[in-house]
Amino acid sequence: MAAPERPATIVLADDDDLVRAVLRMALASPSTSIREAADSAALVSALGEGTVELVILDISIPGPGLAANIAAIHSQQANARILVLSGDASVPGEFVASIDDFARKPIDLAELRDRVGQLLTHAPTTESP
Amino acid sequence: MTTAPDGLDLLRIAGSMARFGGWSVDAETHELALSPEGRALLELPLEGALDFDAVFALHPDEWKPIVAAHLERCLADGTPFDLETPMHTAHGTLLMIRTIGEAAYGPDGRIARAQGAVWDITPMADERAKNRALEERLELTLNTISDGVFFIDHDGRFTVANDNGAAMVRHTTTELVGRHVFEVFPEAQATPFARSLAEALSGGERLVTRAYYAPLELTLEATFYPSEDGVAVYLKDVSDDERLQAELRRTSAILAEQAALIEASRDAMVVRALDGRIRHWNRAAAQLYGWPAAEAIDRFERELLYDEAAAYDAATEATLRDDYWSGELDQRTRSGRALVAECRWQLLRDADGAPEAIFAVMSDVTADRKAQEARLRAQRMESLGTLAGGIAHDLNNVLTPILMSVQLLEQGETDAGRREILATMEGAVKRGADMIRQVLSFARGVDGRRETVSVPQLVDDLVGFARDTLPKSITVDLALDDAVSATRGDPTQLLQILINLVMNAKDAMPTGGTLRIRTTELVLEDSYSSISHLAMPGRYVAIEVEDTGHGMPPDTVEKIFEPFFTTKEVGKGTGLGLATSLAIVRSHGGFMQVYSEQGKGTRFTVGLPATSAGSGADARPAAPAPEVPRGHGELVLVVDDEPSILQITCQTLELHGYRTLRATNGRDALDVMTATQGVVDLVLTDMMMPVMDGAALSAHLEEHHPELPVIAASGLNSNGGAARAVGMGVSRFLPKPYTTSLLLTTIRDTLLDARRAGMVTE
Repeated sequence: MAAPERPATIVLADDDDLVRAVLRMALASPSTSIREAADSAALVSALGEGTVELVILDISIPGPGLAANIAAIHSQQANARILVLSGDASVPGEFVASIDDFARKPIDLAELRDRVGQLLTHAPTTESP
Repeated sequence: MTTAPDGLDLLRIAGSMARFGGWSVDAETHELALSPEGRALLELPLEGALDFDAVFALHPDEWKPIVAAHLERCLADGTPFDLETPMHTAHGTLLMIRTIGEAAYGPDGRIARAQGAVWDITPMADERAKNRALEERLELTLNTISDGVFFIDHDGRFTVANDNGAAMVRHTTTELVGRHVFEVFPEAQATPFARSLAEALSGGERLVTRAYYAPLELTLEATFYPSEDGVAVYLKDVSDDERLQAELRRTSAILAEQAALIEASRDAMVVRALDGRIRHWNRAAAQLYGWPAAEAIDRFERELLYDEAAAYDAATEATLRDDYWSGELDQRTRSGRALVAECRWQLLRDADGAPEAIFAVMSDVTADRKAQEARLRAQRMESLGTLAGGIAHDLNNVLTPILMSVQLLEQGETDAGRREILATMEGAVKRGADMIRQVLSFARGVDGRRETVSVPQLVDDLVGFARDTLPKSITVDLALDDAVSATRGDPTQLLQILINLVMNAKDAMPTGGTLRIRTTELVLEDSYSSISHLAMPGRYVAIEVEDTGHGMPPDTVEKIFEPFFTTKEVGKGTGLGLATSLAIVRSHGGFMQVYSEQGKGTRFTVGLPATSAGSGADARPAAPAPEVPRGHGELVLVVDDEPSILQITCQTLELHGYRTLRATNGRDALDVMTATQGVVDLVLTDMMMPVMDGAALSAHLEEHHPELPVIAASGLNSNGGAARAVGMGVSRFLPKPYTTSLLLTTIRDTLLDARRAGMVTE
């Protein structure tokens, strides 16, 4: 992975404090900057704080719902990738096209890092500052 | 001397003391008997037969109806009479005669004759006084008669009418006397009365006419006595009599109709006395409970039908208290089959309003209850699924930080002991996560691939697994149809289900046995899907996994697909295996069935929708639907304790040209055989039934009807019972559930074999 000019920004949106804490620990590195959101409102303000490369989004954070959250991400950070996490076995079919990846909880540390690495590597980096 | 009817002896004695004569008139024939004293009194021949009409004619005309009226009353309802009348002797001397009469009853309690005494009371007065006295007596006597007496002259005019008679026809005597009959009663001209009157006026015999006379709304009976001066008419109002008879006819018609309805009813109808003894038992009751009316009547209903008397007694008490009770009761038939009866009980009261009996209408709702229980079970599973799904989702959130934390700790850990502890924790979390995944797939259904799956290929993989995994003590037996259709689905998931079944079978046979894997194609028809486990009608590929293990009791079988239900020791199974399997099979549009006999084994069937194409790559054109063989009126006795199977099987056979008889167990079947005197052509019997099972039945038939072919049907086709049965009077074996074509083919083949065998012995 080529060293980015600035750390990649990841937003962790999950209403479970422990889950957010452990994800932060898992992803913390000099090359990442992490913001947290416990609900939809916090997600929207996190998205407004500067360019975001990846959102790790729990399927059911408090707020207007998955569809609205995805729409907010697309409108505020058109280039951000979306990884949906769910306690359920699958993600409803209608969202498959509008997200980049899906992982089932509980997720392995290795698997999480692998997926995040994939998404960040292939993230479009053509945006102008 | 004339043949004197009974009863004249005393009168003869009396007559010989004074100038008493004894008389008697037969109620039926009007035959007259008169003692010698009476004959002497009236100067009649002392011997020989007497003509009633001739003797009666000795009364002066105007007195004839009076005498007749009293005589008829006496014969009709036993009213005694005591009359003083003028009467001529055969030689023309006018006498004053006193006649007393009363009814004599026959052994049947009906009036057999009128009888009495007659004697001469002629006063020694002068003629005029006598005549005046006679007229007064006539009028007086006329009005003692409660019925009508009229005299009509040859011109058709009333000459005499008594008060009661005039009142009966709604007139007074003065309104009638002197007027023409048809002037007063113009409507009478078109009645039978007018014809009889005309006939009587032209002379001849006494006539009796009974008819309804509409203007008076009365049914009248008129007796016409022709006389020299015209005709004397004795008129009786018989409307009440007529009404009673009509009412009686109507009532008995209604009763007969009701009795026929009760007999023909599909519901069992039973009348029991207050002491609980059965008084009436209709045909449906005989059919439902297996007791013929002759055996049920006079038995105590409680002993005949109920295991548990408490509910029955409570219901009886409620019926006596409230006059009516309805509800469900557990009953038992003669064959021992338990049934749920929906009961409506009505208290019957006698004419005085005192409780007399209980009329019970009962219908068998066992099948409904079973269907209802199945629905409830399905609902329970659904709500359990929803609950489990919700919990699983939250549990995953709980496990996420644990798993990840453990893995984060493992990263930097170099101490081997600590690494081992962390690995243990990681393993435990992953096992928990795995269980949750199963709950979720049960609760939310399973996504999977949908590709064409070759069933023989799938079963090959299963057989490979079974041979590798099962101990040597378990024999693997295969009955595979390589031509079965393909299905669509996720081969990995399907294999997982089948492996799960094989593992269960292994656990059921700790000391060894036979594992049988069978593939077949079957068509579930509409009628059949009610018995199957939530299966839609259609064509299926069925994969059966059957063991010869310990089997399961019925209450376990019922719950076997419920989540968290396990027969294994605590900690050995999650109770999710079969629930998840069923969820997966359902997501494939299929069904699962279980059939188990305790001590004999268990069979699971996985039914998967057959795709229209043939099996796998070498898809061949679908085989043309084989022509199902039809019967030609052969009589098949179907024996099964499961009413729905009995019903469907008989319906199917009847639709295809057979006649059927039904029995719910072996003993019932033997009763039917006896009752029909062996005209049955074939017996199709279930193997597992209460009272007398299929094996006992076929053994009995082998002994007493060796020529009669027997087909044994059983849910288990490789168990010892069935294998033993074939060769013991059983001609063929039919695995359950059977398809229509298999049923018909098996019956046709068996009948053909039996005919061939019959020809050889002939």
